[in-house]
Amino acid sequence: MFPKVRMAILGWIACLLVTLSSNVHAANLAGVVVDDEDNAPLAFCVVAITSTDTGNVDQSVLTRTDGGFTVTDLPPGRYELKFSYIGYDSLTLPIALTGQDEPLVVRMVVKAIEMEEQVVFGDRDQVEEEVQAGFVKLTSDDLASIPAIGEADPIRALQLLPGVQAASDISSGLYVRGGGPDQNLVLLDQVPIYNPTHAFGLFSTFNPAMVDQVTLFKGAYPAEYGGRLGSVLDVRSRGNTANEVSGRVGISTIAARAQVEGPLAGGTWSLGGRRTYLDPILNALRRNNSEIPSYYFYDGNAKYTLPRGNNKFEFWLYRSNDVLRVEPDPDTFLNLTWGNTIASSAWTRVIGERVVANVVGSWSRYRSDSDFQVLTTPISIENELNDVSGQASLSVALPPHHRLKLGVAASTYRFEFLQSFNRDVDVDFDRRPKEYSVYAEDLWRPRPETTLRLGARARFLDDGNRRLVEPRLSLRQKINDQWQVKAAGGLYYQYLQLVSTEGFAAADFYLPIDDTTDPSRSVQSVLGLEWDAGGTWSAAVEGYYTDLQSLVLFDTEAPVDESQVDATTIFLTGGTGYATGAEVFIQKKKGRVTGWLGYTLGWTRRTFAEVNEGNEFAPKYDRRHDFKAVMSVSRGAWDFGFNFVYGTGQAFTPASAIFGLRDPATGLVPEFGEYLPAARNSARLLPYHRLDFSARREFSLFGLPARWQFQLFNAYSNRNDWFVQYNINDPGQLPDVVKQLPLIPSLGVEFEF
Amino acid sequence: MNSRTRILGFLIGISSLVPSTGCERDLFNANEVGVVVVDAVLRVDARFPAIRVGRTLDPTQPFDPVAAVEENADVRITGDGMELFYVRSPDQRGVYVPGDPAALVMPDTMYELRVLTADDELITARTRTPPRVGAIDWLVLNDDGTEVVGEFTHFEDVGDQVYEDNQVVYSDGLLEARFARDLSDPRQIAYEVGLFSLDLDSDFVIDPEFFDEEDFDDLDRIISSPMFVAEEGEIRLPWLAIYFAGRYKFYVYSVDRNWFDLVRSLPEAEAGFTVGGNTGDGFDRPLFHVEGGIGLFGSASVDSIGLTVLPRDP
Repeated sequence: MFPKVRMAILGWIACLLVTLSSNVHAANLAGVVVDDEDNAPLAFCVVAITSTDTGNVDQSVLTRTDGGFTVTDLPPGRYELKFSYIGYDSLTLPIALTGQDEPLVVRMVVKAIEMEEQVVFGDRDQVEEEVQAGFVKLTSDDLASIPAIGEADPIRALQLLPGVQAASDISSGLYVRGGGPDQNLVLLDQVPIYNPTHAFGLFSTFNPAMVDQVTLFKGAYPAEYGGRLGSVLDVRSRGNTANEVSGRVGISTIAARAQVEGPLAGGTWSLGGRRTYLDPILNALRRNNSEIPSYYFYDGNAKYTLPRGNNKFEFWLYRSNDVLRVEPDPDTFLNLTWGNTIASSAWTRVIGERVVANVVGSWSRYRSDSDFQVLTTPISIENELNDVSGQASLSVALPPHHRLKLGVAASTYRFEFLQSFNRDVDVDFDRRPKEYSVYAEDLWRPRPETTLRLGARARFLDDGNRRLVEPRLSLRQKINDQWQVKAAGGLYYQYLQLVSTEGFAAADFYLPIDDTTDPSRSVQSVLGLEWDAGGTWSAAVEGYYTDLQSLVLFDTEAPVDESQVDATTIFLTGGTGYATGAEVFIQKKKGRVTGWLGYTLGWTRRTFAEVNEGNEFAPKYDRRHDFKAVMSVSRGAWDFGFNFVYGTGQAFTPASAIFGLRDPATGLVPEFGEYLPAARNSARLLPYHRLDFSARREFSLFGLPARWQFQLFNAYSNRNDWFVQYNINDPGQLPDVVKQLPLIPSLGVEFEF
Repeated sequence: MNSRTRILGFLIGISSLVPSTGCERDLFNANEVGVVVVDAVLRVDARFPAIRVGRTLDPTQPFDPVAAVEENADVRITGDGMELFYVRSPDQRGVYVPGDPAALVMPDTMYELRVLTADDELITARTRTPPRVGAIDWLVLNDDGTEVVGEFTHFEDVGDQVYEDNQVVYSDGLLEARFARDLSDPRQIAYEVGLFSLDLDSDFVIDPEFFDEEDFDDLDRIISSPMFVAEEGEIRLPWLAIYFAGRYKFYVYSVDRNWFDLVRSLPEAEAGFTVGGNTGDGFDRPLFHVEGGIGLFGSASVDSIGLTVLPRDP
């Protein structure tokens, strides 16, 4: 064993021994935390005890489900208790422990919703407690204040942050720090959701009325998560804190949505739903033109939470579906449906004062069915992924400096892909791999200004008998009250591969990497410097570098009837690449004018032996400069929102020459020749820029609080370049530059009851 | 600074960025003009074909087949212990014909094409010809594809009588070619089908309501399929490739690696939306397997069938 490693372990053990040996002449502290308004106990509230004599954080405990907490074995002295709870103002109480102390009753006040306050990262306490570099949190209020197309949308809001991009105006894919949507883990209430899009990618599947908060790990995410090379998007649905039935209803030009919540049998429930109502209009139009499609989507959420003593039980149901039908002719039609179904439950138990256990069982299904007929020839593609998973975790506070988190997870997948052409089954893929994971991480605060999180995740994939170990590290070092440095890094493997199609998300499907090729691997490193001047202004600079190995790329040139499906026939394998860059983020978090400025300087490259003649190339979403400005202004009952996005034009492949070559099967010479593509993505489209605007006003509707919102997406209607289409059947014509969305106005009304 | 001033400042700030975006994109990067293009396809058991040699042209200008030809090149094919010299075609510019017109292409043989231009540019390419495709059973299946309801006669047996014998009603049943396929044989790579409508004035068998007049004008009588690997030795021929009534001749090619790679990697007709990628990714450089230039030096063994397509009852 290396001396340094041995010393570190000895030091670790010494810390634990010191902790144990310090439990002499101890005082106990007990209390209960309640809502100031209705005296409801607040479960899982964070109570941090800091010795004002030493300045050290001595302990951190969570309240039980009855709101109570107990801290034992504290040396008598002066302390500061800090209470933190989501949705409430943090509270700090100075106390002096004598050993004869009475129980405390701590009353917390619901955080005032300040309409002029646009909080992006949550409050300052949460930021300080968060050690993770590249971590972003958006609340439901943040989402509501950001201009969008018709509906507030979590994914589109995230696309306005530095380091996060959209491939196009109609894409809900997240391109985070040079990674594609296939490299993002998307979770809804801790459960993977495999196609988070509606309307071919124009919207995400998350009903804004049901979203409580959205967190994004841009990179170097902790050991608690796994399975993707790049980032983690964690969406949490709305919980219920009210003691009576309440809800909200919203109508926009796209869809109607509702959310209702209330108490039931000692617990709380919440229901939400959303549906488009374009189909009656389309149906009316179709009477005169059979080429008009029939289309709608819907999604629904249900959640029930039942606290019982030190236990909390939660149940979720979620379903989304998109349905498209086009029948221009009896011999030619298209039926397309796709959607997700999730059922999950969780049990959380507080054990003593220092341990929280959590067990989650879930089933997540994504299915898409494409049923075509083209001039009497039937074509069918059925794609289904079932993921049945169980996971358990244990959070253990080890005073004074450590908090351990241990977890296990097991997933069994079933991938089914059936493709038939002309009633001939071309591909019949049915694979049922299993994956097992364990992880451990230690949040260590050796000094008040230093926080270190060390973790590792080990995975076993039965497909290929692969054993993968992924170390993770996060570090925060405060320089002074205003400045801090963050660093993070880790090793990540990706086994499930998403084949995603920009602009046609209905065709998304997942496939596992099998024993014919290695799982993709990334090594991420992030270094950042943050500044926060007392909670109003903050700024951050982060640099990142991600090394990518064993990448795969869907082989679009494989023969159409390739049925012996394994990873090497589906994908081009053995790719490498990197993504690097720096982000600047300046934010004003309080006041009547809030918002942020974000800038990213980035490079992304890929290399595949079979692409671009083996030479390195930039993927389409490589963007050298990316600037975003988001501003929210509050004036009385009015709120105004502005977004501005500017970015380097996307990469595309230009034509380098024109040539004539006979079709070898027919001997025909193309009359107009054919374009010769140049090096892949060796040119750039015009820079992208767009301004969005929203105006929102509060009013009273039959005595109920209500608001209406007017939005302009792409306010000056700049038709940004989307892609270039070289008409190879007629190269005499100039190529078409296909444009993105023009100005799209929308109007919506929402009221609460 | 009040809110109004800040909004104004925000808008002025971002509007100052917009003029700097007004540059032009370069849709063409004409740095491969003048590259030599070879075009040669060998068919097993057939005579050596004419070979076209040309050059790439400026992509910003309409394609001019005359300007694209390469004359005065030295063209030869070696293989199977022989060297076949080509001469300029007396009839077509840029076309070279074999000096020995009787020479036949052999199966399972490596051939090398060597082209030396007048400017001393050397272009080479190699192909291994596939083995003979063997006997193909041409079948008619029921609509579910579960039962054989008819079998076509062959040119070898009845000659042009096949067009009388093999009559099918458009979209009535399924057409399928079956042949011996050995997946372990690396010489059997993939298959392509060529369809030739022989009656050039025959009527349409399709009449989709959503077609406009000009849509019918765009329909071709000669069509090639995508690539098939036909792992089970079956290729089902879709009715969607047939627009016209009358006689057809179908060719099934068992192709070599060069042919396979080129056809599967040619930019898609609609190089915009690509399954499993970003928009525009379909416009990607084909796989040529030609040293010193671009083009195709490929080979195939071939079998064919003749049939007559009858229109559906109105």
